[in-house]
Amino acid sequence: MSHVTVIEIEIRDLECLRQAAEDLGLEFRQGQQTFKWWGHSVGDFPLPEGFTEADMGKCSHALAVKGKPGAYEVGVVARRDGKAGYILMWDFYGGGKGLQAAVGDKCSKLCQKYSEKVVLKHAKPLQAQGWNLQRSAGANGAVVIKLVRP
Amino acid sequence: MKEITITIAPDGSVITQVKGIKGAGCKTLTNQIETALGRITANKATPEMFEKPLPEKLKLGG
Repeated sequence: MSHVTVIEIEIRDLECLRQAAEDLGLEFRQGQQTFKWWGHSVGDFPLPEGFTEADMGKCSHALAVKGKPGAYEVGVVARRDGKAGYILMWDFYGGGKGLQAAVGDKCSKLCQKYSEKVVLKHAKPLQAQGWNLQRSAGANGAVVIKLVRP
Repeated sequence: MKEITITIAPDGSVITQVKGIKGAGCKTLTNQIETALGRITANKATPEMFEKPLPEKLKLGG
């Protein structure tokens, strides 16, 4: 073994996010400036760094569950902590009226699918060099992607 | 056999493991994937990383 790396994902690739959303039955709404939520914060959860209550519901793009017009939406919001990329904001109260079933608790299904899309995209140069890619289900809901070369 | 294993946890966090590659070349192999994913929170080199790769001539000559 040569090295082991642990990575906390950051949403930076909107095309991979769009593909991940599509796979989970969501529509990526490019340029939609607001996302659907309850509309009023009760202050029971801290807001992300750099955001105030007045910013809630505003976004750069949005993700909407296909076929569920009443469901809340995910806001894809440009970060304000000095780092590049986006954060995902959504109202999960009451399951977000059907949103959580699509994106998972804490948006976990969406984040996992996004990571997979990023890995597959950036594995292509290795595949072009002769690495063989295999995808399988791992333990506890993990997805395992192996690149093997004799 | 050279092997890169990428495990994507249910929350989207990722662990990459590289086996069978001597020297620092293993870092170059996964650097693009790791950088594209996000922020590296832990990185552990294993003994193989500090072994020198064989010169090309030796590898070709068997």
